[in-house]
Amino acid sequence: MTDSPIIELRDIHKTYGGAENCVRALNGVSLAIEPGEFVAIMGPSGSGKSTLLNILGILDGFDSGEYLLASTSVSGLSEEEAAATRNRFIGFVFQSFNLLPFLTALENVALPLTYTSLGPKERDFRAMDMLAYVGLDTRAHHRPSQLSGGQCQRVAIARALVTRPRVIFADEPTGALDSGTSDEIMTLFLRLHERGASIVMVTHASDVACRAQRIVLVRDGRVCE
Amino acid sequence: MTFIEQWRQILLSAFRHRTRTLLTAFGVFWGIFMLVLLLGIGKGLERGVQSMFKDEAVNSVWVRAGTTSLAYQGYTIGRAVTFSTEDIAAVQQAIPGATSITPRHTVPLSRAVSSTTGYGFFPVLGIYPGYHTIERNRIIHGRFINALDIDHRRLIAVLGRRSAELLFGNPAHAIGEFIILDGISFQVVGVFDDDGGESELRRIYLPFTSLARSLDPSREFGLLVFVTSEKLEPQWLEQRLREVLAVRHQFDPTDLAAVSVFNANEQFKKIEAMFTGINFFITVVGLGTLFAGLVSVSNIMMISVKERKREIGLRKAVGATPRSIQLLVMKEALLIATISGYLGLVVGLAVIETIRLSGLEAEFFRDPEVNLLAALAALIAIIFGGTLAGLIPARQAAKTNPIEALRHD
Ligand SMILES: Nc1ncnc2c1ncn2[C@@H]1O[C@H](COP(=O)(O)OP(=O)(O)OP(=O)(O)O)[C@@H](O)[C@H]1O
Ligand SMILES: [Mg+2]
Repeated sequence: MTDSPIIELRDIHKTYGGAENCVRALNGVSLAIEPGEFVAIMGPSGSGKSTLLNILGILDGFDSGEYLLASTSVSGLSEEEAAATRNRFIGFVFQSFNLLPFLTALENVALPLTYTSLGPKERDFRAMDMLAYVGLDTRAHHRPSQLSGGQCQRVAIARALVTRPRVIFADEPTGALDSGTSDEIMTLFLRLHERGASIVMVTHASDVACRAQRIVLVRDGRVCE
Repeated sequence: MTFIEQWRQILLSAFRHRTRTLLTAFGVFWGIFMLVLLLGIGKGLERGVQSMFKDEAVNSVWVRAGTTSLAYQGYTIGRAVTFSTEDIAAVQQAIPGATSITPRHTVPLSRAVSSTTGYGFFPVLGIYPGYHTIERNRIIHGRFINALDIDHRRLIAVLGRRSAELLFGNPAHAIGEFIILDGISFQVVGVFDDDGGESELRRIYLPFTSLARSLDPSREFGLLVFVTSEKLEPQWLEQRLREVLAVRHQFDPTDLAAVSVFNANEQFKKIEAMFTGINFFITVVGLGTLFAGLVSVSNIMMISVKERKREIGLRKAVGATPRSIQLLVMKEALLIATISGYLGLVVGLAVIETIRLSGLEAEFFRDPEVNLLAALAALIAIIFGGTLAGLIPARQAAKTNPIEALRHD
């Protein structure tokens, strides 16, 4: 199992819009990512990075090609199965954190677990564990509005990790943070990587990308490594 | 997620958007409340009008002698028709199942009546015993006029409660006393009560034969009343009466002015039919209000889903299935509809009950009540309607595209 790639894309095409104003966002992307890899995706604005990441995260579909996640094709999944796969295999970190403002940090972290069969106690225990891992166990009962941007992103990372996913996707996770805070977040990702996590991160900053193991360049919907 | 957690989450969400929840709830509350109120008041009106009819036997037929308006067999227009005791026998023969047949002869103008203790003007009527049945008089002292009184032309009288009070002070003291009418003494043998109101309680009844013997020797009368079987078709009955009386009194059977026929049963049925119509109308209006309430639930849930787009998108991104999102929204709609609908039902019932207990009663309104079955049906309608109201917004929510919902703008 460790030998086969965790992610395998073969000739993925994706267009947006109808016949007249159609945008070819992805133009035959093939990519393989091994378990435990830390991949940075770079490229100019509008090149299709987010589109690629959304497809990887099964948040979006594609027109043609094949996507194997942990050796299983994603194409045939029903919506319900796709949701379950997102829940079990994937952790997502967004640029704008996307924490629910009316939930505490702990509740936000535990949110993905509410869609599993775990009981409330086990969920809180795991969520607390994850908060401790990102260094925010003392802020467990604070709401997002009471936390700084960097702290919010750490809560979001804890949320992405709490289901013990096979791979973590991050779309410009440092895009909304100042450089100092960005460093903190990057250090956190590197620590995760050292512990064996598979990470795919979209970023604009080359200094951020340099700390990754491998850089994938996307240009006009194509991959050129 | 456990069952309790799910409902906790829904309650929290409803509470987070209190204003919206309250507005939604009010729509349903008002719908059910109005439905219950309308049904209750409709019932009260129906009962009130029914009780107006209770004063007289429901199956009574009142035949009144009039004046001819059509020339017939050489007779001119404007001839007065009057009934005689032979007509009673003729009606008895012609109408199967006719009972309590009685003449009612009203002595023209109120008569000066005096007793040892009082004096006054009262309407005096000559009748057969059956008339008490038809008027639904209730004897409170003594007895009614009976067949022997008729046969022996006894000089006795039965007084309405009010006339007894006016003549003797205490109605109980009237029995055995005498009243004097046009110089003739009649012994009081009974005092009755009646729901017909003051004017009926002022009446003085005499045996028809005694009246004919003493005050009005013509032995004629203007009103013939009897009770008939409910099964007789009203049109046929009237036709038959006209035919029989037309032959006996030589008038054109199509002359509607010669005799007039009032069939209480027919009127009663007409009123009943009217209330069937009113109840139908009330139900339609009430259900319409309820429906509007449910539509407002649907609308507001729709807005709610739009406002919560980010939340729903995120839930989907972290693994919520479309089904779980759909159920979440539907359960919220159901919760709001059920609680507010139930409240509307309870408050509506309470208001109706308060009206009933307060004894608010008019001639045409009494004892409002809501049919338990109708109330239950309303409750089921809310639960069903609430779920349905949530369905469209729930579908919408389930279809939320997480990428679109989470786009930072
Ligand atoms: N929902 C959409 N409808 C239509 N076109 C879209 C949509 N989403 C993206 N696109 C187009 O697809 C192309 C790729 O977009 P994408 O968001 O993947 O770029 P990106 O590399 O992430 O850019 P950025 O670095 O600015 O985030 C762009 O030309 C964009 O305009
Ligand atoms: Mg992007």
